[in-house]
Amino acid sequence: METRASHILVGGFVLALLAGLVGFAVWIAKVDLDAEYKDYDIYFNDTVSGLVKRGTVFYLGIPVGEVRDITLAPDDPRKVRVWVRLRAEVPVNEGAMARLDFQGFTGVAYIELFGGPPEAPLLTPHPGQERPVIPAQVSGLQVIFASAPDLLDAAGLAVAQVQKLLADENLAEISGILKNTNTITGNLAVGTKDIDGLMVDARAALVEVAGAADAIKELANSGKKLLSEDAKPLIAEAVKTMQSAQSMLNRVDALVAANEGAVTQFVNGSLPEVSRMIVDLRKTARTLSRLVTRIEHNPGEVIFGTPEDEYDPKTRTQGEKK
Amino acid sequence: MTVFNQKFRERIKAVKYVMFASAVFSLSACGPLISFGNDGPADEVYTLAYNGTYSVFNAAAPRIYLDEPLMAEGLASRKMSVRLPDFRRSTISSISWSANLSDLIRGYMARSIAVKTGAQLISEGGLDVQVGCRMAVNVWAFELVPGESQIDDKVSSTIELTLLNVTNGALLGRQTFVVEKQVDSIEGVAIAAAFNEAIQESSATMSEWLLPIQSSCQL
Repeated sequence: METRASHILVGGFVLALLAGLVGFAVWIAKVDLDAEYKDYDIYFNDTVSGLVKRGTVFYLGIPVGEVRDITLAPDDPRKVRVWVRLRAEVPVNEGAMARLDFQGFTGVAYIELFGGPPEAPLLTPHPGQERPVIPAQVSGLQVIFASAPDLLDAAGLAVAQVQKLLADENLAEISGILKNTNTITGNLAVGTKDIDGLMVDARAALVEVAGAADAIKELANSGKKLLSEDAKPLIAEAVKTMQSAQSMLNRVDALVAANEGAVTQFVNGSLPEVSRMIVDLRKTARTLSRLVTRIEHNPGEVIFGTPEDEYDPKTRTQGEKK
Repeated sequence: MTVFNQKFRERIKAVKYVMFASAVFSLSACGPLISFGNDGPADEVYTLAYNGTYSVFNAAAPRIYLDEPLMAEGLASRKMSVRLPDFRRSTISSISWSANLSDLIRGYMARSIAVKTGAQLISEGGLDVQVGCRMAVNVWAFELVPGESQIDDKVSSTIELTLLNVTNGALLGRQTFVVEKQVDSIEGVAIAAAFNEAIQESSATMSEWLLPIQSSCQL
């Protein structure tokens, strides 16, 4: 006996299962069937390394969309065009900015959006543009990454300079400078002690100077008295003596003037001869001294001469004594 | 009384004569006080003869007083010195200089250097004139040096000059001139000729030395 299947029941069950599967998939995928989106373009002037399709787009840290596509700008190969899709309620108005950021130094790149002023109108596509364009700005990390090679070069150069600076001979020089500095500071410390002693001496000297000043003051008072009372005769005598001296000098001056020629001749002519005469006198004195010594030693030798053997060139011998 | 006194005085006078005669006799018995030389042949006498011209007067020329040479080792003598081995010295027998050697050298230098350099060299007998320089002369050697044989005999001359500016006491130069000349024969004339050649060469070299520095003696 053949079982009679209920085709209607089976078909209904399958359809219900399929509808359940579709519902489950929609629930699993969290497909927001009611959501509305708006597409935008962002043009970056530098690399967007680390940014991938379906990457998240944040608006002030809130995920509001995703990256749809990344391509080169159609009219400028130096730029990158990033097509993003944002929720329609995100207020992307005039003045909004997009920036490429990273999750840490090695993290994934993402796009961060900053809104414009509240009163600004919403961003709309300009003529000739497929989608509205959100202006891009350079992030701090991009600046760092862009300047990193230069920084590394500068750092390498700095390291090389430091290595030169810290060469052995420079280290020796620095060591010497430090030693000298140590010596100087040591001397300074010692000198400070000396300065202290000097100050004590100076203080004592000032006390003595003060005493001396008093003594001078007293002496001046005494001198005043001496000049006013006792020195008058003495000064009169001194004036008289000076007058006599002046008279004598006048006579000497007249005498020299009268004999100027003779004096000049003596100075120019006779003085050199006197010098020679002195030399000759010294020589004569030495000779006389030797003569006296010889006379004291052997008077006969002075009178009769010193006997000596003379040399005969013909016989090449010294002959008999003379 | 008067006659006695007269006779006594005559006797005293006679005694004095006798005593004087005795003294003269005694003294003469001791030998001559002054040697008049022996009875041998007389010495041959030579000189240092400069055969050039005499210097001419030039008032603008430097004036230099040439000092009397200081003679070393007793060279200041009329005898010709000989330097023998073993530090012995002697004089040559039978020949001598015509004057003291220092005078001969000074005279030769004064004439020779004055002619060659044009400077006015004031020497012995020069008048009392003002000079710019004084030249001292030291004669260290001017002697015969016998060799092993006659061929090796030579005369040696070593003279040092010192030039001093008398106006400021500055030492302008000092130089020693050494010359040796061979003696051709054993005769006195050959020895004297060698000495003359030596002083001639020395004075020529001295003139060359003085020429560039004598301008400092200009008054």
